[in-house]
Amino acid sequence: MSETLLERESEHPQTVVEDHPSGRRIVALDSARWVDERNRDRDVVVPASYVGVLPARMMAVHRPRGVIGHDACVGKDGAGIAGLWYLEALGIPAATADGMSAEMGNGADLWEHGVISRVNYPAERCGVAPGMAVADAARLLRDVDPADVEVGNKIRREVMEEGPQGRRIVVTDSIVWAYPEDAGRSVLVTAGHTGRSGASFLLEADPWGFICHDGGMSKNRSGITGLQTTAAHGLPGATIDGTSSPIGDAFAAWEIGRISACNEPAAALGVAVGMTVREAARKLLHGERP
Amino acid sequence: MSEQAVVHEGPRGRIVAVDSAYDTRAENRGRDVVVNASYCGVLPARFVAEHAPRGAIGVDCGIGPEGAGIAGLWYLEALGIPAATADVDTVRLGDGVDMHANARISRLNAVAEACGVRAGMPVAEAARLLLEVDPAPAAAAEVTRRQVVHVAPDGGQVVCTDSIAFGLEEDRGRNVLCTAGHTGRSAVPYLRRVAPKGFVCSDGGGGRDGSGMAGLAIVEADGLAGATVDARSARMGDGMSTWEDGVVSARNALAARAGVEVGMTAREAAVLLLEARPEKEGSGA
Repeated sequence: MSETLLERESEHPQTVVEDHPSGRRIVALDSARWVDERNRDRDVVVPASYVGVLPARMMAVHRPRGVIGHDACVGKDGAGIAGLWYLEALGIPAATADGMSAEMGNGADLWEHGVISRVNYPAERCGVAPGMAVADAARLLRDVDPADVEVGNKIRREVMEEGPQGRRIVVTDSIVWAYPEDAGRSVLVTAGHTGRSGASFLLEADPWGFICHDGGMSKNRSGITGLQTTAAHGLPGATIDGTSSPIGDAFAAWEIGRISACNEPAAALGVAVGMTVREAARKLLHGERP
Repeated sequence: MSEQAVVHEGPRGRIVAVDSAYDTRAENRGRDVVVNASYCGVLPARFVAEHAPRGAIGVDCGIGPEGAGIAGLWYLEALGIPAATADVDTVRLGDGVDMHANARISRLNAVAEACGVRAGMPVAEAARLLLEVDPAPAAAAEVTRRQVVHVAPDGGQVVCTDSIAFGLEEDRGRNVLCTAGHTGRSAVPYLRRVAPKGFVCSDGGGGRDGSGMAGLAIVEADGLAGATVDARSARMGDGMSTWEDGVVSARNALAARAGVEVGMTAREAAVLLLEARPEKEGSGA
């Protein structure tokens, strides 16, 4: 088999946009294919490529310190950002810029004008957040050592609002991260599905109320069967519409999610289909269970 | 935590069906294929990866916004763990044994593909492949996924491959390439050096100032006919998806002369580009 163009290519144009006394650099490139051994461990690379799995593979073999690419407007099946998850598994912090904030194939424009849209967990831990300028994000990745990069479980959990009698709204990605103190007290906004395996966790956690994901509803509406199981125990709950917010990200659901279904006890507290997740969580928080 | 149901046992390990990805255990490490009725997002993938089983099959949950239902496939791929998802319409969420018996594969990562798993396959068959086949390790530049999808009477081919950078010398002036990177300015040197008979690439979601298809006009001067597909219609980085799912979002004047139009399927466009006569013989029109 003859060699591909990629294998025959010898020129890898890189522009060092910032040097630093630490020896770490920020390097802008028109393409992820031009990341190479020069970048290993020390450089934050800023390539104006989409961050799909394919470009992620090409960059990962050279282990740059961090990666900021382009989200290509995310696209079908999230293919424009799928490489973020590949890089996360290898402990490499990575983010993408909003597709309309920077030109594709133009590293200098990405560096100067890009605005962050998506981040992986190690980049989040470095302080990178959506809405930040690419240049600021790149400096964070240069200066901050990513923590908690080992493969495995990562807990994201935050108390969002307080309510009567010590009650509160807790946003956490999975119901399995419920604490004993959530029992009878917290409205848990989580983002796993509400099928039968989710329902057993809900009964065990026994929160004041819950909002979980509908898992795209799925065969025989099995993604929400937990609503009935919990109703039988008087536990009010609702599900997040899978077309409104990504599964697995409770913080996204808190921002953009909508309700697709709820059980009787939740309806009695004023929760309704079509409501925002935030609104529904507040109904559960302030409502008095019989 | 609930029980693991052993649905198959062989000399290399077991296939275990579990209701949730959280039920993956240390004893599965390097040995068992875990069929779990959870979505295959990054979050459950982290749980699965902690115990590094031989392989994993989850549920796509309709794929959902931004591919969140399958994003864990890419996390697991980076760790060399073959993984696939079952089509949500064939699955009862949270029922691992039913999923093993009745569901079908929808998506897979490159490691599972190297094991022989394919979309449409029953989950039970895919799980057996993951248990029994050792995937050959592949360097990033080797994962080209090159495939001939159409051959013209003169031997010219429509070839799918994931990036224009994977073009070969034999493609020059003869084949139409369906690839899946964007068509911005950084793609231009590759298009020029491969110089295929025609090309269909991604528009990269457009980008600011139409930069994701800026290459179309630039390569006209080189006599290259080409089109882009809408990144919302076909997955970037997947040349087969360009061919199977792509809808044309833009084309250059040379492609227009071959009959390619915006809104057409990529399939139609690629075949038109392949069948186009060279310009110099192109009649007196």
